[in-house]
Amino acid sequence: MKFSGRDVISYVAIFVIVVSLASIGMKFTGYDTVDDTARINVTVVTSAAINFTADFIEFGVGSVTEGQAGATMDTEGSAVPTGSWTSPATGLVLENIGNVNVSLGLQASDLAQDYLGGTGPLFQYMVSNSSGDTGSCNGNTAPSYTNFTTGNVEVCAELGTDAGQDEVDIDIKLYIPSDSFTGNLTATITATGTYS
Amino acid sequence: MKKMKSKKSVIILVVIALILAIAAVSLRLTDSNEVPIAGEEDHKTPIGTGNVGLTVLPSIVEDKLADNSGGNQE
Repeated sequence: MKFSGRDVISYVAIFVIVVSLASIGMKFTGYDTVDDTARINVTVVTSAAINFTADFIEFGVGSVTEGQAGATMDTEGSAVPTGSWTSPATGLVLENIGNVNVSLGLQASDLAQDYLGGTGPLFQYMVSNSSGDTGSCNGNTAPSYTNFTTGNVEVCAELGTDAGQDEVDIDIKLYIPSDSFTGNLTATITATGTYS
Repeated sequence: MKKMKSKKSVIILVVIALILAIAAVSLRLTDSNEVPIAGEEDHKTPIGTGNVGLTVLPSIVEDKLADNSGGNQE
């Protein structure tokens, strides 16, 4: 049996047609004997955000009792025996409202001396987990009252994001000496969250 | 005449084969195996601020001298 050149071309053409039809058919019908996978990647964007849900502490109007060296007050509702102010019962409350754990830092606009003046003033903070938010602040560096600085100081190595583990209280303590500045005194506290 | 007809059939066959081959290759190449849906990460450092305020009134200085001298002071 002898094939002519035209026969060979015909057979090759028929073979190409068969293979092409098979390939096209698999695409349209989805029937494919070869393993083929499709992937869908969905990336959830990391969003870091913190929010002061209680962002203002007002100690009110008052003065140091005459004859006293100064008055101490805090945001835990403590009595102020040597002054006429009333300690508020709650401090600042800060919540991680993002979807990534952050390390939390605090700083104040003024040091105690620049904020309150006088002899031996105190302007301090203390960080604790909010009620019902056990485990929010991991690596708490300010579990007791600590002097504010004007530079950022890390207070929580990790502030979580899960509901019930994402909120901290920041209590404030002031000591107003009898020779302090007078008038309306306001300081700003800045919280900074960072993540890697 | 028969030879001409046979030649014409081969040409048609080859043309059909070429068209189908091109179509099959095109379908393979344009197939999308992966649909990535991704966004840029938000690397902004979040910042919040709170305020502490109080008003300090001048202390009333007790004037003992005035008390002892009947309240008159020149």
